[in-house]
Amino acid sequence: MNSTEKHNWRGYLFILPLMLILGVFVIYSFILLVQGSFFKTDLLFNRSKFVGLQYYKIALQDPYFFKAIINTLVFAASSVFFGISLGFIFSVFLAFSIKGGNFFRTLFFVPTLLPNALIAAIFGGMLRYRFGALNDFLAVLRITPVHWLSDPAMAYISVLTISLFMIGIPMMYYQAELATLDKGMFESAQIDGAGFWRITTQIIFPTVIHSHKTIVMTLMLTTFRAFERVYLLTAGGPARSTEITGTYIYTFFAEGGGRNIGYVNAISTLTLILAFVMSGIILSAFNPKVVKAKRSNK
Amino acid sequence: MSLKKLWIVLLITVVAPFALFAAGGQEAAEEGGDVVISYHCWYPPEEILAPMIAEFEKLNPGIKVEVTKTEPDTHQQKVPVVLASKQKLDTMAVMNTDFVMQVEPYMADLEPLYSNAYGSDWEGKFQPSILTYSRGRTSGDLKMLPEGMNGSPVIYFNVEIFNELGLSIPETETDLMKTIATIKSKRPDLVPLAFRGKLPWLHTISAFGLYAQEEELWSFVRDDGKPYNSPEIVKMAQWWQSLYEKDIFAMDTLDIDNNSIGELFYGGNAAMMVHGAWMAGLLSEPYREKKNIGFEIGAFPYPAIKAGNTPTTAATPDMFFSVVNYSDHQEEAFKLMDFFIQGEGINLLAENFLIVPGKTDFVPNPELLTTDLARNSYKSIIDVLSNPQSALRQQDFLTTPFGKVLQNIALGGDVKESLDDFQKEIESGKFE
Repeated sequence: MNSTEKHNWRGYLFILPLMLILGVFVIYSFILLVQGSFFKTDLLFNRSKFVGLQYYKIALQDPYFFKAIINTLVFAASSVFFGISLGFIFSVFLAFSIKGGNFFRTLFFVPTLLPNALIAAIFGGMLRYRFGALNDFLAVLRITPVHWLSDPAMAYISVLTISLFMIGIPMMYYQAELATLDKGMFESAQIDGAGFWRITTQIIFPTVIHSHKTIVMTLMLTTFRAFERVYLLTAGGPARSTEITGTYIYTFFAEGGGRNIGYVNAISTLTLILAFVMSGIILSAFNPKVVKAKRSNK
Repeated sequence: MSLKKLWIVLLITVVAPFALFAAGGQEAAEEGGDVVISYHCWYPPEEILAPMIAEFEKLNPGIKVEVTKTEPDTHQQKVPVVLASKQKLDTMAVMNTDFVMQVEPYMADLEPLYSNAYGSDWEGKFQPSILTYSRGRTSGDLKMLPEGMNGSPVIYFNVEIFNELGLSIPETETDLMKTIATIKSKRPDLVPLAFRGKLPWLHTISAFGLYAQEEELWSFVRDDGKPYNSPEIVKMAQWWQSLYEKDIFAMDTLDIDNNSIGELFYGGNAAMMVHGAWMAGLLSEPYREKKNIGFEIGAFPYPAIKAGNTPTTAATPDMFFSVVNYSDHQEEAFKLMDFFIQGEGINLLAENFLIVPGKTDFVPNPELLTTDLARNSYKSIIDVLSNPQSALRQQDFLTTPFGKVLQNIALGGDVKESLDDFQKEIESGKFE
């Protein structure tokens, strides 16, 4: 055995505890989840009856599950959009030594440190139609109050907009990568006549591709787990208008008191598969070979 | 790091959690010679439950109670798992839902326990309807019993605002509509009638529960299996929609939940509040003082939909208890259950008006209801609870999904189309 092989072998030993935990709590749970989706059973796994793919068929034909998936993807897309647009722009500005830079950094980052449930509770109070802070403010300006949470369309926009306050995480990634960039590159660009906008969009933006990848992946998957935010803000309503996969699964499980675990397992499995597929798409889109090929085609 | 050290680190990583888990498991057994019984519940609030448990332990030296109180959803999900895995559990609060079906195999027969405690005429201690109802919920044997009756919705009102605007208790739905119109015109700063419209299940409870004065329809769909798009349900849903069209309820109530309704009403920003009978403590002056509510509160049931109807609500026996059949301490567990149902526990709970007790010898504490309005309001609540016309239970299956349909109808959605879609959803098999 040469030294490299020995080194690799010890490496496996180091990751063994994590792999054990992962094996027990993730892989085993996943197997149990998939297995359970083929059975009609309750929370106690009593009276199990094999039903094959029946629950998958029901789920795929269920317009409300479909709507929950679409909503999840739309909310994820908005989250990504805010993250890589505003998050990037603010990071670039903060990369300059502006007065109060640390204050703004903290201001943008603090919401990401708060529990989602707290954010939802704060916004829930602010957006209430009667005696909500935002409508009270609009009243001062003599603007008609808005049904932020009780009108389905406005509730949708409210849930979308709340992700704006989560740009602290993308900003953190961008700032970390911006700090590593070679300043000489910008000086050369300036000498060649490039202005601020051109440097930002054509040099910095393509250069921080690793941050883009991490941010898109993180924000996309975070939306799949944005349960508390949506549940506490709108409970998926009114009238299912803001239902995401997390609230759909939870409410189905809770309202049935664990009555039909097979269906819950099937919709959870489909959601997981969707999350895997989305991750795969993002990873392949940011694959260095693909990116390089795209650039050379241009 | 040497290989030996690495193995030690790995061993500690793997073994330590098991060792800690095992050490924790030892605690639950016995405590200084006392029998420790394990009790799982979701209700009542901690500030009421803790003194009740302390009183029980005082009255029963030698028995200690280990309480696990969780949120209702958690209770519903956790207890069946605890029972199936035969973990320590001696007595439990039972949700009157499909939960009964799940936990019935683990419930002890209560008749021998009651016979031992009170003799052969023990049944006289309960209202007959409660015994009949409880036996009907399990397969014939008596395996669970409730503390009493509860129900929702009833309407609480701010007496100061009613006096200021010269309003009286509405007798019919039309009166209620006029009352709301008066409040809106004279005090536009107020929410006339606060309703927790954000909670889908409450739409179902309220629609079926109140419409029962016209026709009882919940057993029609739940027990008789009639479709949700039947003409009868369509008529009920149209009535529900009309409440929003007539501004009895309003679109802005669709963002009100459990917390915000309290802020609105207790803060004096809502003239009326739709809530459950378990809030009847608001009628009591000492209770209001404790909660820092500075105005008098009265209550009335939702009025007659049309003149001649009898007001009603969705009311059923509530807060069931059972003894676990594999418990090693069934006698002690029964003592705790009986304390909650027939003993001092139910008296303590009744002082908080959380339930109308089901024991036959219950007398309300006259010191708590000090005015005629308070006494009459409480009587009106007891009257509707004693004569429930709806078969609906608060935690019945499908109350939430159907409530989402009613939310859509409240927002002006097409009634027939919404009900057709829900029926299709039912027929898809996903709820079976």
